[in-house]
This record gives sequence, C-alpha cells and structure tokens, in this order.
Amino acid sequence: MPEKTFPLPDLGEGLIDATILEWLVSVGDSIERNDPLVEVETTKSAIELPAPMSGVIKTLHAENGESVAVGAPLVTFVTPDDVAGIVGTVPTEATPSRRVRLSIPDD
Amino acid sequence: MQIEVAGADGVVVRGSVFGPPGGAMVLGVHGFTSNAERTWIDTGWVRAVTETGRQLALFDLRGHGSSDHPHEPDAYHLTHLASDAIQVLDELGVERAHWLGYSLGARLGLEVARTAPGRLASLSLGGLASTDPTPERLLALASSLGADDPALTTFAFGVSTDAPPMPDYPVGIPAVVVAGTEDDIASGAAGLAARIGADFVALPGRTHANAVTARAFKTAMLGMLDSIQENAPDVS
Repeated sequence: MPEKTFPLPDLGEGLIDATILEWLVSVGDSIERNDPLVEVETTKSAIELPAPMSGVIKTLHAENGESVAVGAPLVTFVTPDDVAGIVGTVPTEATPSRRVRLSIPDD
Repeated sequence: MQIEVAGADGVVVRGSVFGPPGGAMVLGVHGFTSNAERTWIDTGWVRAVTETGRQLALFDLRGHGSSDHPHEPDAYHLTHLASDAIQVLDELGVERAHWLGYSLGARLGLEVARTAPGRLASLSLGGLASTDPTPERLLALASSLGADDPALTTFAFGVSTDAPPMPDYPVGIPAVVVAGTEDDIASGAAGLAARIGADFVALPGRTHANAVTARAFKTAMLGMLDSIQENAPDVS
C-alpha cells in the first residue's frame, strides 16, 4: 500500500523545532483529512495540527514530550491502493486566516 | 463573518464568527499578550466547537491584535474590556452566550458573571488566576513570552488599576474551570472553582502556555454544553 511521510512543517517566526505535547491519534487509526492530528508547542505558542490527508496512521515518528526539528519526519500514513490519490473531503468550515499545514517536501 | 464593534468610548474591537448560522453561540476571549488567532484558531478550537453545530465568535481584546490600541491606561480598565465583549454579543444579536475564556479572558468571564449574568449560558474558564496579578507580574509574564509591544505596558497598568472584585461566591451559571498542573499562574484555580460553584478539571503536565490546546479542555467544555442542552433544549 502507498505510504506518505509528512515532516514537521515550518511553524514560522524562525522556529527550528517543536515539542510534541500530545498525539491525538494512534497507530492504526483511520482518520480523515483535517481531523485533529497532534498538539505541538514551540517557544512561541501551542498549536493543534490537522491531518494533511485521509488514511491510516502507520508511524508516529516522535513520542509525547519529544522535540522534533522542522523538516524531520513527523507522521507516516498508508492509503489503500483503491483510494490512493483521492483528495480528502473539502472542509466546510471557514478557512482561518493563517493555518499551519503539513505537506510533503518537493523532491 | 468579520465583526467590528465600537465600544461606548469609541474604541473599536475586531473579530470573526465561525460555524453554522443559528447554532448556539460560544464567545472565545483570549488572554493578555495573545490574540484570537493564536488562542483559539491555531489551537484547534474553531473546529472543535463548530463541528458540534455551534458557532464560535472571536475578537481581539483592545490593545491586542487587530483591535484598536488606545494610549491611555484608563481605556484598559477591566470593566471596559468586559464591556467590549457585551458589545460583541449585542452586535451579533445574541442574548446569552457560552463564555470560553483563557487567562485574562477567563477573568473577564467572571466580571460578566458579576455584572451581567443574564448574558451567560455557561462559563468555561482556563488558566485562571485566583487573585488579580499586579502590573509588574503581568509585565514579567509578557517579557517571558517575548512580547515587547509598548501598548502592553499601558494595558498592564490600566487593567490592574481599581479592578472590581473577583466573585468568590457561587455564580449560579453552569461553569467549568480547567488548569494545567504545571501552571503556576493558575495554581489557585481549583480553590476558586470550588468558591464559584464550578467543576474543576486538572490538565496533567500542562503549563500556562500550553494548556489552551489540550483536548481535555475541549472535552470538558463541550461535555458541559451538551449536558446543558439535554437539560434545557431551549437554552440560547
């Protein structure tokens, strides 16, 4: 099954890492895009990151309380072959003015 | 939906409303040195509240974020800050809202409970100090958070001067108080919760800076709102 690994995104303000406060999902969970994924804390603030895609959680790359560098692996999803490539449902809530998202690096 | 409301003294506060029109209204009020976006949007609260069919109205306190920053300390008297929140409810045509406050925003919820309890359907209060801090303590807090806006000095003195008494009696409104176990600002929150007749939820390991995102805070607040709706379907 296809896998996708997402790194900790750039959280802005020159921050280079963040601490995992609490994972809101577990390995094996099937979640939808935009579902709450993880709470992280930087030296500036605490942030809840939404899931960047729909799929099943394969790997959480850090434990609660661990520090993760921006750009380091954060979470790996697997998607069943028959739904791979289908974009998750479009959220119906109004889009906040600024929202940190996870994305796969260009490579 | 964007909102812009002028207070009685002409100071304008700005904010926005999320969620389905007609849903019960929650009013989110942030704390000193923060703003609506950092406290309620970045932290996942908009989704948590709106996915239950409720609305979440947010605004920046005067002296913070996109709202006006008056230069006179008197403009930041606690009663003015509470009055701005009431003006927001008036602008939205909401008689009673569920108050969701963090830190100073929680303190302001208690001020509204003292002066205008009829405007409150419930109180959810996070990171609440049991006594009002001195301006020096507020400024030390601002400094520790890396905030250096000169308006915050004016604000700290204005909000601390002649502040009205904090309720220490049962407020008669469904209420829940939450605080991180490592939050030294809110270390008296459990005792205060008991005095005002609120439930208390401790958030293990959380500090004043990171308790606001906690899933357990959201669960405590939304669980209380659900129980209110079951008991009185017509509320708000």
